[in-house]
Amino acid sequence: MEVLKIFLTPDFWSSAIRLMTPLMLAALGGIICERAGILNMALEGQILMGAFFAYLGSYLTQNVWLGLVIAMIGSMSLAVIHAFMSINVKVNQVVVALGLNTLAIGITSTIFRFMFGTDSQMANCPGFKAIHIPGLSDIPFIGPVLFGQYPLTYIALLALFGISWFLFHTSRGLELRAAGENPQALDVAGVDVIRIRWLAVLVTGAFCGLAGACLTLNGLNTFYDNISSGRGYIAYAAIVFGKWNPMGTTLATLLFGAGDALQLRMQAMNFNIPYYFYLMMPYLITFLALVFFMGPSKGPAASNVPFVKDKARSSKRRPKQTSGIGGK
Amino acid sequence: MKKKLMALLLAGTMLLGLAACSRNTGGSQGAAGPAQSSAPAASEAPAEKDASDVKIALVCNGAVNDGGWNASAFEGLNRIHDELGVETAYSEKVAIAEVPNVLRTYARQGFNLIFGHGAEFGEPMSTVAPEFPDVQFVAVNANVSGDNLSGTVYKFGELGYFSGMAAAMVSETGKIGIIPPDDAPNNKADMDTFELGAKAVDPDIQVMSAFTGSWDDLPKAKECADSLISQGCDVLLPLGDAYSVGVFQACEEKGIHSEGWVSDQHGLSDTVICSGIQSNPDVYVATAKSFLDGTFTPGVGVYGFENGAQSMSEFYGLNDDQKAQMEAAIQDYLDGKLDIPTLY
Amino acid sequence: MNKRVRSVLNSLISVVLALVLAFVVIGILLMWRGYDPAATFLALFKGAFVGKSNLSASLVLAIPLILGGLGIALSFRCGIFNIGGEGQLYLGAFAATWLGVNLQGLPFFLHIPICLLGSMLFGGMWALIPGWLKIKKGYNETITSVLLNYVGLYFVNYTLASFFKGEGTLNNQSPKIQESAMLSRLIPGTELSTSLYLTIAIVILFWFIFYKTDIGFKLRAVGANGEAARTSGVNTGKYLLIAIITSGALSGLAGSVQILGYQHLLVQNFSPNTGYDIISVALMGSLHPVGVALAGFLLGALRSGASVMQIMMGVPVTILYIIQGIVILSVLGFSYAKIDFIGLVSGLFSDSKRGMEKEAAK
Repeated sequence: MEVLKIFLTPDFWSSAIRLMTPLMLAALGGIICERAGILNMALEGQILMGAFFAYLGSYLTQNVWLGLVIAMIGSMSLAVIHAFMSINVKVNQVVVALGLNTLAIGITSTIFRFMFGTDSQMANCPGFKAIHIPGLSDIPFIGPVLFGQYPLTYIALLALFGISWFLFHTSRGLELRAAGENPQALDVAGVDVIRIRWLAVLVTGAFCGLAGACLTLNGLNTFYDNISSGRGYIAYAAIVFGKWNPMGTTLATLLFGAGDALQLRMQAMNFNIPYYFYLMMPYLITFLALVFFMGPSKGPAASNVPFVKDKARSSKRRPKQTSGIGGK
Repeated sequence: MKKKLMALLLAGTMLLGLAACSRNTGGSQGAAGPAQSSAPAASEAPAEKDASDVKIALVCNGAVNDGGWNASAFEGLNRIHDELGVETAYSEKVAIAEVPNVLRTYARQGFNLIFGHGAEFGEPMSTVAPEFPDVQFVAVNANVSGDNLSGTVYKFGELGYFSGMAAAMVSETGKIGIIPPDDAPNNKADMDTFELGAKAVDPDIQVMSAFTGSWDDLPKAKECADSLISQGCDVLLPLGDAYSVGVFQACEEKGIHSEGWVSDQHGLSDTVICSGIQSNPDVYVATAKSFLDGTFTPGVGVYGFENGAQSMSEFYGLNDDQKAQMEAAIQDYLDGKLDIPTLY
Repeated sequence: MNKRVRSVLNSLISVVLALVLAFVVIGILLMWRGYDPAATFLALFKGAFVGKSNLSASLVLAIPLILGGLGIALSFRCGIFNIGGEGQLYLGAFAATWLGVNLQGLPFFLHIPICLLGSMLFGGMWALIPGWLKIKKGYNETITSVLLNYVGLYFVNYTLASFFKGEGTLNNQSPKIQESAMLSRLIPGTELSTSLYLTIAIVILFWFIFYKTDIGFKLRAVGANGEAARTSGVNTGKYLLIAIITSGALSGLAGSVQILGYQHLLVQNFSPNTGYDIISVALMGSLHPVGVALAGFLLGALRSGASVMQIMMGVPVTILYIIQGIVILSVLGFSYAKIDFIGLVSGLFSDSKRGMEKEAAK
């Protein structure tokens, strides 16, 4: 019963929100890309790039906001390759992403060594400070949970509403969704599908930059090799979990964040459970919840299908894995 | 014609290979025993070596800029280079599968003393060492020994005890926390004595722990710290490598105390009241020195308070009474009046 | 020139070009930091290929990559994106080590196959979960397999810290396996074991089954066009299941050959990232068994060369990931863009027949 008390502490919820913020930013960004018909498994690599360039930028400019901008540029540079490869060259979108993730590990840890050498003892960069919104943060319980967070958490919340509104209440959002559901029809209507997809991938890159910045600039103020440690894959899981819906996806990241926060607190309570099971918990909870409560979900119809102009009839058919869509 | 020749050659090599396939694993390992009688003659000649003839290498599993465990080895290597004028080299981020070849490459490059920084080097080193009888292999933190293979271990538990005492002295809530990476035996020893030491000062104190599950996940360590703080802990000891910084930041934000580990980490954060120092650099330099002057003998070296390789830093956050109490306890331990259940 | 030779040549050229591109990028990075690129690449090359010891070290690293890569290639060919190699590999290694430690008094010709089969069983079962969920329930296999990676990895780490922990060791590792479970060394003084023959045999077997038998034909049909295969009466679910179980079994084998071959005991995180590297290998090898074997060898050689390069030149090993990333991306790019290098080259010399063929091929 001790465990249930954990849920009543504001500290648990604020920690859950803190842990979910990077996942949420990356997953929200990923939705845009997925909705436009580009399956994005490269979130992991883009988060890593974002994390490193946030650190690098903030360290070099000594300004945390400039660091944030540089983080977005850094992960967008990876997104450019992603867009070119999957939209123009039409490479299978899953596999190109896996290559990008490897590249990101290489770029970040190599430049980290080249720039900071091996004997620098963790040069710190300026980081964000938690913002306590005056008045609101004094409200019991809700105050510290919702109004005493880091700036990026507020940005993530704004993004949630912004993206929901954009996707479902604007004509641009409709076009974007059409690019993922039925690009041929959109093309016939005279909209440039390629352009929409390119923009979507770049926007996703920018969001991943923010997500990466969460890891390095939220009080940690330093970088470490492979700091993203699989968070990109979890963010992708959250997108599918949330059925490509911003609200659902956010709840999925909250589930994961809460699972992580819960295991950390349960450890501190000295139950006699081997700690490996605690570490496993967030992944296991997500897996079990996915299988038992969510049911299979179907993504946008044209996800992972390269767009080829004037090939309206074959839109439903998936390409061969080896050769992509057939030549003309 | 050429094709046929190739085919014949290929078939030949395949056959040879198959012949070599016959069981001979016992051979290479069994050889370690009988070889004992002849090998020492070569390695134990107590001749002083000239620094210019000696090359020393370091192999690490992790990154040498991690600010903790591996960084301390790197510092030791650099000190060997600077103080003894010996040529040195290092390899970082070497996965276990690559360790044997890296060791062999160093041995073939003429390195005479090769350090492996961690217990995981024990096994590959005991395979490779018999192949290079003229090279000394040292696995730091491993309990291995052989003709030309040594291990070094710390008296794990000493630092935990004194850190626990100091933590209990400054704690106001009566709750203190420890954040180890995992429950490997050496961490377990320090965790146990941390509690013992704390209880020696305050029998009612509550000790909590949270594992990070990783030696380098900074964000995770910070969250562990936050979760312990929310349970009421007001002194935290990170028992890890690279992630101390994450714990210190949590402590700074909440305005509580922390303790340092491995090196004096007061410089990293003002919250650090004292640090348990495990001087890997000292172990490295001492080993290299004895190797140079010919007194080095292979075996398991135990390092602790008595030979200065483990010690407590200055007690920054304690008042004079408490400092005196700590120093008395350390003196008692050195005099054999205080018994700490250490590993080794 | 016949079509097949031409496509093989094209793949080879694309790999070479990819490597050149990677080395140009790395060369610029190295010059920026004042290293000598030529000497560095020479050290990398020597460390990878020159000398018995270096060459066998490359092979040792290549073996698990090839075995796992074959499995991934099979599942990708059939349209199942199994990214769970990491978890399958660790569970396979765990099973093999457990059997290797606890079965006593068996002769080696029984003990080794039992350990290998055990690892394949565990790896296959772990892959069966996402496979079954996909085929029967329609769950996205990429996500379930990624989540299961962590579950499997932590489970194995847990066993090594608890009931399967060797006595008297400072880190969490298993006891040593029985001698009867160890593969014998091919060359004394290296880690190369008979698992090399096993790997070669599996590559050949894989190629034979996939291209020369009925099962292989159906597997390919399911991958090429599931819809069409189903209408022509193929039980697609069954073949997808075969594909993912085999893929998991091979990943498990990729773990166990490392233990039985030379590590002889299981250490926590003994093979970091291999489960993801095998995906790279499968992709670099264009999902073809021979391609996978070559790509696995290339990556193993690069890896082993890089650690020697670090010793000789002091260049960080992490540049390896840049090379790996650039090679994967360029090889993929070339193969999907269907660039016909042979056509391009011959087109330069004569604008007659070949040039027109290239146009036609477009």
